Amino acid sequence: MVQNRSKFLLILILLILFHSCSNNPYKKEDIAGPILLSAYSSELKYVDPVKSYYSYEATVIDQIYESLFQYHYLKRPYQLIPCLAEEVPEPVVKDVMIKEPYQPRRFDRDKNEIFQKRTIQAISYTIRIKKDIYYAPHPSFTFNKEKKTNTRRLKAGDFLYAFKRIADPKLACPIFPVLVPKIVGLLQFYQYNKEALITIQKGDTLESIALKYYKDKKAASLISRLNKGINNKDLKPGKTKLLIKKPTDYSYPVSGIIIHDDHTLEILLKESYPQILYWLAMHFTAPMPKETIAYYRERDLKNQSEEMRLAIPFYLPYPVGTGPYILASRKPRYEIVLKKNPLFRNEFYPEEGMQEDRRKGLLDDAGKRLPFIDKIIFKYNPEYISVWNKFNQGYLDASGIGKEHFDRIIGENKRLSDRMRKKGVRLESSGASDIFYYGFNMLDPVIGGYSEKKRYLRQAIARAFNVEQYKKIFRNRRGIIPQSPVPPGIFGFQEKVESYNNFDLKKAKELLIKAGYKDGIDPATGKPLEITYDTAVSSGDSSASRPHLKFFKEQIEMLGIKVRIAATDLNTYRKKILDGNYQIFESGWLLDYPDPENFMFLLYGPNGTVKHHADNRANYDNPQFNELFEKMETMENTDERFRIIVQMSDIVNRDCPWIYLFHSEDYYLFHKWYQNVKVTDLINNSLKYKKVDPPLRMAYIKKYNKPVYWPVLLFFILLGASFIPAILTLRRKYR
Amino acid sequence: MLEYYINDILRSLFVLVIIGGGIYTVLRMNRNRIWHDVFRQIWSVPIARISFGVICLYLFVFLLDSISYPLFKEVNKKHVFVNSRTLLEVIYTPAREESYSAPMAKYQFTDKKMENKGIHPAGTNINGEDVLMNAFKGIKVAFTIGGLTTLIILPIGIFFGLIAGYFGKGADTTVTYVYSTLACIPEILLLIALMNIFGNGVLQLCIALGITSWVGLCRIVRGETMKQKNMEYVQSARALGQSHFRIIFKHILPNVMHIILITSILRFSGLVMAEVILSYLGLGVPPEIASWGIMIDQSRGELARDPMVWWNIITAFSFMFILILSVNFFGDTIRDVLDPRTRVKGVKA
Amino acid sequence: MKTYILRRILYALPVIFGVMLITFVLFFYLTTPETIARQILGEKAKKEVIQSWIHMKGLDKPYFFNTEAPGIRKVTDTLFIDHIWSLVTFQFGNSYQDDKPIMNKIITRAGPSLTFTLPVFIMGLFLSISFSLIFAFFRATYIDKYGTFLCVLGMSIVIMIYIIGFQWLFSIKLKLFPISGWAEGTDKVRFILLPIFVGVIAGLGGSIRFYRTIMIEETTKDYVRTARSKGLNESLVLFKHILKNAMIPILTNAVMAIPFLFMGALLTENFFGIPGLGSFAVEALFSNDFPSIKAVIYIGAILYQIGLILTDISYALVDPRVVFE
Repeated sequence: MVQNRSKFLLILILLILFHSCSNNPYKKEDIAGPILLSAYSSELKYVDPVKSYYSYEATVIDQIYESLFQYHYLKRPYQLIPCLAEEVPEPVVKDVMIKEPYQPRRFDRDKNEIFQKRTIQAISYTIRIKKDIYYAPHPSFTFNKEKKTNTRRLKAGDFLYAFKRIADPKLACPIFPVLVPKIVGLLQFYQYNKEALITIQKGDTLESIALKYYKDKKAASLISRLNKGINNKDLKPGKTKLLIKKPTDYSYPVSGIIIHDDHTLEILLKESYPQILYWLAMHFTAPMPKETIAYYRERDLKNQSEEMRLAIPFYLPYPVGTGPYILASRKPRYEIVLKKNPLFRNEFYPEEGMQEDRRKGLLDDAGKRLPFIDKIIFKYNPEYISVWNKFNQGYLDASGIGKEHFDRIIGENKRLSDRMRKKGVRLESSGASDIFYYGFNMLDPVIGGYSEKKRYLRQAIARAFNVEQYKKIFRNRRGIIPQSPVPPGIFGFQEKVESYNNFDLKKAKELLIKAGYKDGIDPATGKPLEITYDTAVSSGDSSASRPHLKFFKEQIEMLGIKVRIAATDLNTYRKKILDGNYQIFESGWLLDYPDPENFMFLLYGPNGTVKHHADNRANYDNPQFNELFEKMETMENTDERFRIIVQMSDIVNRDCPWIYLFHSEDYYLFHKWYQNVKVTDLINNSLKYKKVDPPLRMAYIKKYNKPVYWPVLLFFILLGASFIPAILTLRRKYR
Repeated sequence: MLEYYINDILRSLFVLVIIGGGIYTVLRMNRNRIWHDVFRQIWSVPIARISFGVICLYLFVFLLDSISYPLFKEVNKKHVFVNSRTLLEVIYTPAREESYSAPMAKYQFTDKKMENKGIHPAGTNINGEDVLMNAFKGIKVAFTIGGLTTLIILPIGIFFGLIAGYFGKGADTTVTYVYSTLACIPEILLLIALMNIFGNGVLQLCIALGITSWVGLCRIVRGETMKQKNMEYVQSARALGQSHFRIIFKHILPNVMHIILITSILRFSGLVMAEVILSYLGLGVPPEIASWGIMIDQSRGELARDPMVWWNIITAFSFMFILILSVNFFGDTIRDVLDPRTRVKGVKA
Repeated sequence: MKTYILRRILYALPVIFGVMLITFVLFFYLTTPETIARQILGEKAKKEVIQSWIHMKGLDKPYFFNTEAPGIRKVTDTLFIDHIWSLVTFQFGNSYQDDKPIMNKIITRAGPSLTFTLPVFIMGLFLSISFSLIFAFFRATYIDKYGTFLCVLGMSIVIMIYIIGFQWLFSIKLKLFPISGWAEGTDKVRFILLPIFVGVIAGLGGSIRFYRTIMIEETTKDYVRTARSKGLNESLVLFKHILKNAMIPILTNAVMAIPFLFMGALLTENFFGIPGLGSFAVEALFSNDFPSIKAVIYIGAILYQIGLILTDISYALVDPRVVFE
């Protein structure tokens, strides 16, 4: 009896186990609701708009923050439309009287004394801001009776605050070097708040310095701690330098950003810079409520020592904005959940689009209120193989990782395999505005330099690399082989230009002879010339990058040159790049905004990585190119501008600091229940336009995920059966 | 020109000397009556014979892949070194394709119009290299990692184990202190840190693995030495006034040798498997070298293709599995023979 | 007993100090403060910002001896003492990656690791002991022979193959479990079943073989012969005498695995998307998050030592012959 009962229990447990078996990685109600199921593979590092720079961060936070402008969801080429602003303003050249500092000062002076009034000529943008916009509910706001929750109306001052944060020396905003010098008065804000090294004068003591800079004698101990525990005995007038730090003073005025009233903002530029409007469409310039920053500073820095508070850049740990979604929860390596923002303004699905959009059904929801999806669940999926399998099972609506998409559409020439098509999976492609390239370090004594011979050497290497085959093997023939740094879809794109570096092995060998390395042999040593390809190997992508390295090596070695692959960890690699200690590297650039300047600046001399810590990793510095760049940078899109771009491309192609790889062509797979999808690599806030059809999804999941039990049962039965003969023999023996 | 020949000859000689040394030692031991008996017993187990045969096959391929000669080409009437060519490459020279092709397929996998240049028993990988050839080359990496690391571990582990076990007191405290401290740190973290310091490379990998895994051997040798120390033969040697050095290396070492042999053989398979995990973390051998770890790691993405590319992982896995299995079975048999505790024969129910 | 435990603890202290020393040497050799600073502040950060960040974090102090500082601070105002102090007082500070308190991070990450490694540990122990008992019971029959054969087969497969294979079989073909993911509360059962299964199966071969050796060694001992000659039932001998005596080596071996429980299994965590500590440690290592790594290693070392002490004590509970000297 007892034995029977335990057997019964066992069977019951097994039954329960089997019943709970399902490969559904979500809660049941999540698949059934109007909820987007998505994946992410890298942990978000920042959610503060002033610091976040990666596209995978933008896919999350751009649903939460909104900026003054946005791009039209359907129209191509991209068109700026108002978002928080009433309309897109036109620049006006005018004389303005501004209050400006006599000279860049530091916080050691009283800020009210040092201003003078002056009239300058500036480019002015006057932006009117929509009136009835509220921040998403957040405890840092006071209770609002009208909305019956903790919120506040959006004010023009919030934009000024955001701009000041961009110029805050402690926050090190990635777009600082591009944007700050352009706006009147913003650089002064930076310089005023920069920390200072002061030289001791005769008669100075720590206390007197504390009184002077902090208006408080007690700060002497702080100064001492800031400077390796220095004390009064160690001070040597004229020699000792002391580091002084103060919290960033946000009350210091910026003369070029004028708030006329709560809903009117005027921005003054020193010179013409049409790209400013694009920056105003990015999350860096999203409005930032002061009180939220103060709220989190108070919460997180309460227990920190004074000097730590001064030293650590404080980034917002939780995003608060005016966008369609709010961050409901975020658990590291697990999930990010976005929820609908109840206070989201009235925004409607666009009524116009391109011609094919109507055919594709992208205009079916025209005029309906946004957003359509209630909740977005991003699940952490570091392994690509699980993303793919979950997509196949219907547990992901689309997979958000662009880089490896081509792996799945192996079907002949860019077509989806039949099996996928039968499942109702949709393939979308879009030419991306980006460029991938191998770069030469122009500062390198062997591979760099601007002499005729060096130029031939680089051209020879570039011509030996078969990009066509590279595309075929690694990218399913997708992508366009670049002719200049400017990708398609951007003003200045050229179909075909005088080629200096298209694949041609014979020509490459001739060029190599001209460069003085016949058959790849270095005449100085009598051995093959050896060049180094520098790369970083990290845990995530090593399996993807290895074949590329091999391919590169084999292609170039056809010239008789030797290629050494120096694969190091990411830190060493970064250090090598910063020190200029490398020869060839791979890099890519995805546009910030649709303007050729955003690509040409990758080769502008004063953006050199080694000398200026900016994005020109090839350290290319050609005075002729630089001059043309400065001219082109601030121009409107005219024929003249196009001519200059052609000229610049020609200079680059001749000098050959890059081996062009491709302008990528991204392919995405979507399930049929995932609607209103228009592929783009520029519009990050697109989730509000998208829609899911839960019943369709449920049906798919039911159809393709029926659990199969019998092999497991069979296994256990076989296992049990294998013991029977042994037990029988033993029984016999003991009897 | 001569330097390249010398270089290649030296490299080949190194491997030959090590393998030859191994064979010589075994033959030398075979003259000893006790060991002769042991070898006979091992040979009497069928599975050991099979495993030994398989290991020899692998060793043979390893040898072929290690003996190389330099290739030159003529430029401006001067001979310029191109690369080294191993015997394996002379015997088996598969054609180079453009990209993937399935095992025995006539056409490319992704481009059905493109005919293959040769036949590939295990297909080709994304770079168009013959997968079978890569698997063969993986043998060299596996043996280098397993063998070289063992060569690093052996002297350290044996020396400190003997010293600690024999002298006890201060020496013992110091050695146990060092290894118990190392044992506190999770092996994988220590490995990653060391690899970050040394940089990528086979030799570096071996050194890092050596640092993390000498502890096990040392611990076992120490324990065994402590047992042997109190045996009569050691006591009598000491009574005869023999030096400590002589006692340790002449008397105790031969008596702990079997333990060392068993431990290092079984550790060998662990080292080969470690390479796979390190490759996954991007810390294994340099990317241009073919290794099983890299092949398996590579296949993570390939399995997600549609249709699936399975031959890379299956080939690498089979090669690795068969080697490790043989080593394990062989090691097991040696253990059963040498270690009286595990002998099943003596036990009758 | 009390003095024994005290002595054991006193012995563990220098080992933990050694761990501190190793982490110190390793990681200061591994990176320069500037690389760390650049990583946190961004590549484009200004030089003076970097300098002052390094200064603030105290990373520009000398390693062991500060010649500039006065008096006793020559020795105390150094990187090494800062390092030791932060560990001894458990003040790990904030992570370099996202500036959140490390202690909180470790606690949140340790949970998932434990929920999956603890069952693996217990079930693995249970299954391997029972199978090794079965093999010992049926020794020299075909079950023992093929069983050991299967064990060797099982331990010759790399864990990565187990993971990829089981995901393919159970989630894609049989559709019994989700491929990867995580949930909170009881819902997580669905997610951890497969990783537990993989963990148990992958470790089973090696441990069964090991325990079987121990069991069979015990069967040759005199007391077993005595028990048998008394006419005791074979199964009684096995369970009452052999198992009890084999428990000591088994326990020792099991305790060795404790720090790795806490660390989780890195590969399993990555493939199954478990937000555990193993992946946390490796992430930290790859991104030069020195305070996080040293905290993880330090806590691991302490737990390991505690485990060792507990084993020594449990020896006495299992086997009364062990006397505390």
